[in-house]
Amino acid sequence: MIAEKSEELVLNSDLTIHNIEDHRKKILSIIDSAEAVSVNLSRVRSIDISGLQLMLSLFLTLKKIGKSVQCTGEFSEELIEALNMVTFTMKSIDNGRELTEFIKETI
Amino acid sequence: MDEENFIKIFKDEALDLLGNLEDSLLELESNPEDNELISAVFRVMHTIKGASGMVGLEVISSFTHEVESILESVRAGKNRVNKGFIDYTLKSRDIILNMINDPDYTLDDKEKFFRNFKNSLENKREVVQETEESKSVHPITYRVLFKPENSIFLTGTNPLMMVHEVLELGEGIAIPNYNSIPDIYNINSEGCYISWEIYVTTKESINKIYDIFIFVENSSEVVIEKWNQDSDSDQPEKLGELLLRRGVLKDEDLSRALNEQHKLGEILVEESLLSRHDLNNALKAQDFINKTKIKKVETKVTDSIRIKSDKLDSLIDLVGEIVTIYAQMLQMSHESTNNKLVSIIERFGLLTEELRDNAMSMRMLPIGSTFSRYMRLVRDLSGDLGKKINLITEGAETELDKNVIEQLNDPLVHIIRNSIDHGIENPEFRVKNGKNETGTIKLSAIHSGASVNIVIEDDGGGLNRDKIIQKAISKGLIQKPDDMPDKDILNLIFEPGFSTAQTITKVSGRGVGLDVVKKQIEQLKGSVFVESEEGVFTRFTLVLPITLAIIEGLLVTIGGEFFVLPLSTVEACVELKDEDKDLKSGRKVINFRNRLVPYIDLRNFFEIKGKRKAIEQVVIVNSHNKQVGLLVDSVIGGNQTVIKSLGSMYKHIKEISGAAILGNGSVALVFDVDKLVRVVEEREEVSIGL
Repeated sequence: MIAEKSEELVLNSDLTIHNIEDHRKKILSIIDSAEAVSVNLSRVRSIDISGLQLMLSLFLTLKKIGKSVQCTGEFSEELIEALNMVTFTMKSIDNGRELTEFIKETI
Repeated sequence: MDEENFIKIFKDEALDLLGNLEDSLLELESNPEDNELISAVFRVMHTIKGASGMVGLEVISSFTHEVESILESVRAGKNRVNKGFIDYTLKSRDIILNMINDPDYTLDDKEKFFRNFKNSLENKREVVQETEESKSVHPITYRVLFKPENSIFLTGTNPLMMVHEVLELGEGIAIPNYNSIPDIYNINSEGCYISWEIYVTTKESINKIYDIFIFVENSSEVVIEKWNQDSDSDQPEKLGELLLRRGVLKDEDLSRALNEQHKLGEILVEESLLSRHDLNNALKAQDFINKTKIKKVETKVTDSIRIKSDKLDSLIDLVGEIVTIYAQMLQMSHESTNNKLVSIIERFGLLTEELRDNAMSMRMLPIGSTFSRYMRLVRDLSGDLGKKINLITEGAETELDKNVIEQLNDPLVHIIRNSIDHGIENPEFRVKNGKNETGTIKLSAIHSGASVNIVIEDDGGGLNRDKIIQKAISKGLIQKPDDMPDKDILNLIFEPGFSTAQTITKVSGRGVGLDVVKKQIEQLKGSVFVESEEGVFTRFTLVLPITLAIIEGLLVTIGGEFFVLPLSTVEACVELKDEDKDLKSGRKVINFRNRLVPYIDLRNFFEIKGKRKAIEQVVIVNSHNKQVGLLVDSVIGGNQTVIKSLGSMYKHIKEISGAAILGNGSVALVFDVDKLVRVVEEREEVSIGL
């Protein structure tokens, strides 16, 4: 359930080293004003270590300041595969809800 | 189980272990820096010590304890593996063997023995270097800690690839550590904050893992360590110890938490002594390591089981009975009109064949299990005689019936002793004659149809034809050597009492000669021959049947009686009509594939009465690489033949190797083709070979 003053951020490019700083800036631009943040990854095709780090860092930060955060969207085959490569989980992460669960368990 | 049974189990296991120990020590002598081998030698002594103590064999336990202490000093790198170490560990092995076989055995001066053992060691290794270039036999679990430098992405390197590359070396698990990731305000999004802890179980060497990190090892943190250093331990990995080793928990916190009677991990998290993340990661590592251990134990359990050999013999006997009953059922099925019954019998036949093959294969052992003991023989005897000899073995995986292998030891020892003593020359003599000062004895086994050829070849002085002739004349074995082919002259050495050695040594040449070897091989339904070139080589070839118990046979009849020929010797069956017989000269030859092949008229030979058939059959067999025909009335067809001994009454009948019971209950005699041909040759005093 997304809170009323929630911001949804739809990522339009891959969560990889080439554009990771752009994604960070976008995230920074919304997290201060929003009470809750959701990040839609349905258009993301790939993720690497830097992308996973950024998502973990976001969840960690908002957890510290007491704001809620979640990932949303159904993931593409390519993203599911890239996530498996990066996270080394036994179970594949197929959508935003599962990624949210994974990150919350991890941090 | 009573005490005696425990002792018996201990003895069986200890004998196995001591057999392996000898192999490991001889291998260690060639590779003195091989830490795996040193550990293997240590483990054998450790196991025997523990097991003998458990069954109350204190003498063995205390002796092995002292040997183990010396081995430990080598394992710990304090002493070097040298000839003295190998000599004394081999001697210790022999002493333990004597203690096991003879409960009254006592070592004369134990203190002196261990004093000499210790004196033989070289103190302190100068440099202890781990040489693990080759793959280890048993997989080893390594723990790899990989913490890339923060700027690794900027160098164009993807650390993830390295982690996956390590995992590809075997079975493993990678546990990422996210503890160092800063918050989003402070993170350098192009920096690397993740590190990995990887556990991989692999047969590859540790260097293979280092190679993966070769380009980043200077800038990143890479720690690789063997995880299961005590590979003997099959105990599950304890979470507390794991957390200590992973450096995420202090010893005193562990002790405190262990005093509580709850789950350790939960207590540690509740008391904020450990983060949930570290607990989860440790649990993952624990799970992986324990699974590896379980797999190891399962492999140990399911790889092989120990069965008393007489149980296997009795299984073969039972299978033989089933084969005989099947033959009777087959006979019935020929006379039956009941299709259902015929079909069931056919299926039963297929299963019987499979059962027979399986049961036979259980008795098969790789001949290499005996090869290794000759390494020791060559090492010790060549040392005694001041000779340098290498023993090379080939085809150790070749399988033979265990009963054949057991009876093969004496003949092989005899021939190898001969090679060491009389064959290979002294180092000085070899060098003077342009040879390498180290002689070579090659022991090889190779499959050849239904037989296995075992070849023992040395590059020594070879056999002297003239000496053999002189000796044979002096012993009255031959009158004059005129026209005697070289091959026959050489094979005179198998005649009783023949020995060309100038001096009788403790090694060989005691007058009990190679005739004994020949007799033993022939008892195994095999044959032996020798080839040699003076000054170059001597080669003994033993031809042995793979098995003695059940064979594929060809059933034939002569005068209403049944006979079986081993199918492995049969090449073809051809008809012999009256017009094909050479009536003028009376010569018994048949034109087979444009070659004249001599044949033996078995009806005449065995003096079987009755009328001949108009068309008889000649079975073309191979005997000593020559084609020979055997004239019979008719050929019935293939037959699974369980060979039964004829008993001692008939032991002088060389040409018959046994008897088989047929489906109709009648008895068929089984021919020993090679001997049959030889007996006919001797009787007719002419060679029937072409």
